[in-house]
Amino acid sequence: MRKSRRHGVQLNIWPQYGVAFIFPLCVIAIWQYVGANRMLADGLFPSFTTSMAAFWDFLTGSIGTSPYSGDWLMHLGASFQRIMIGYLIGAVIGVTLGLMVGFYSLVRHSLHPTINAIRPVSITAWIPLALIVLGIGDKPAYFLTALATFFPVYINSMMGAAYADGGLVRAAEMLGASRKRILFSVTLPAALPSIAAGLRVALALAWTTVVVAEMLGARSGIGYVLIDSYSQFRLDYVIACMFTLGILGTISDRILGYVLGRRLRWVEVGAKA
Amino acid sequence: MPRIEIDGLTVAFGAGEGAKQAIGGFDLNIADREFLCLLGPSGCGKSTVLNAVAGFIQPREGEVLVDGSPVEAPGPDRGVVFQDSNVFPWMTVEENVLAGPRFRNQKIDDALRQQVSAIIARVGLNGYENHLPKELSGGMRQRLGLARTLLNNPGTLLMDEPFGALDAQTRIIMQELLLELWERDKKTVLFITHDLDEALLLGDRIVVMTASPGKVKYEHVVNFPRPRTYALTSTPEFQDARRMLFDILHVEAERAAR
Ligand SMILES: Nc1ncnc2c1ncn2[C@@H]1O[C@H](COP(=O)(O)OP(=O)(O)OP(=O)(O)O)[C@@H](O)[C@H]1O
Ligand SMILES: [Mg+2]
Repeated sequence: MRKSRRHGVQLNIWPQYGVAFIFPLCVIAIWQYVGANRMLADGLFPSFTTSMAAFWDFLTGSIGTSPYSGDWLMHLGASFQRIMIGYLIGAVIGVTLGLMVGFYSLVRHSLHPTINAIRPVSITAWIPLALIVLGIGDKPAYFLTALATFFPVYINSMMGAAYADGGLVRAAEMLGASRKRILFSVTLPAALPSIAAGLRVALALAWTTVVVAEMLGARSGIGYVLIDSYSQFRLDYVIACMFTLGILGTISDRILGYVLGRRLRWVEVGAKA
Repeated sequence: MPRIEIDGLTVAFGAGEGAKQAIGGFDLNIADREFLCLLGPSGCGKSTVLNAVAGFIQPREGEVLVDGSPVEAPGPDRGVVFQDSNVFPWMTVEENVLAGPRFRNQKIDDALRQQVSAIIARVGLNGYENHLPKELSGGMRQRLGLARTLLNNPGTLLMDEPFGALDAQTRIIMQELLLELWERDKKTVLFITHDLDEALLLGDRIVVMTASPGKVKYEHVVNFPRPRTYALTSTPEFQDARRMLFDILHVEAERAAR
């Protein structure tokens, strides 16, 4: 008994961090072996080092074998601008409509059935229409990203508002707050944990959507570089793009999580993510 | 004219076949500056009565008059202290106390700020002004809820088992605080409790309700002189009254349980 306890304690000391590296190192080792020996996809599948070299070339242009050598920042900027604008539009509309629909029954009865009927149509199904109506370029990406962001934010804001603690609403009524005042000063903060969850889910969806939009309807951006490199059989560049997306998705999620966490410091229970 | 007049109050939840009468034909008058304690078995409709006076729910039949006019909506003239405090978790202690004036778009001047710190001190929360509710104990949150309501200086206080969730020691401290506040600045109070000692210690009059749907079963006028302190609870007179009320309440509690 005592021995196993000591063992547990020992496990907690160094491997807590060290253990996290074992799995990715194994994956990279196998990847490198398979790639370097040209074992997959008729040798098209690149090794880890080739992919990292492509990423470095994308960043700096030091090799210069791809049409996108050294253009990383430019394409990143294009994707970043699209996701920022689309996400902001979708989030603002989603929170506003969600709160109104959750709070005012008249608004709920007039809007929610329609919005809910549109919701099951997947974002990718909107692409042809968006491209034809909005043309090639930024606009369909804005639209699709905003749409992808809107639904989870809307649903979470609506549920958060509709199920806001009735006791807090009564307390505000008793203190003399008007309906509008209750919406902004009680329902909105009470719904914030739920809104925050929606915002976080939506950010991941927004990244997916912007990449798809760029693959099909843009001439710049990480998604565009990814699909164009694919058509040139430059799988090392495809992986460099995927790598970029992974890093950016993680960083943006962390930043959003941090910002939301600061707003939610008052929440009593639950582990913070 | 009584401060609060409840005539034939009937409240039902749900509609049609499935409707449940929470209270049917309940009558009660509360005089100006009277401290009235409402007792009754669980589920008999005490909270329903209080919620109707507060304006949180509307009667299906009968009426509730406050100062002669029917209650239409909640308002700061009827301050409520809730069983589970309902303080705003995203506001600090000071912001919670100031919530009433803020919600009513009242100007926050120095005089008001002084009142706020005085009330915070009265309920013993000084030093905690910038703490969040999650950093307070249950008793402290209850005191915060009381302070938030008191700042609006309501003519009527509606208290629904405000100390029900507290441990015995904290509860006594809160009772003595309430006694002190009330004896200094008398307000009309409707106080719900299931604790006989609490009712006898605080109230001018005790009304016992029957099992659901509740009606007035028994009224007891509490004649112990004021100011009162917790020491009163150990006097023989207190114990006699307590025993008598206990028997009445017990009969109803058994009927409610059946
Ligand atoms: N929102 C509601 N919907 C349906 N029924 C309700 C609702 N609120 C109360 N009731 C019913 O009305 C009756 C009276 O409830 P009320 O809360 O007034 O009782 P109470 O006397 O305050 O009980 P307790 O001492 O347990 O708090 C109960 O039988 C309860 O089931
Ligand atoms: Mg109750």
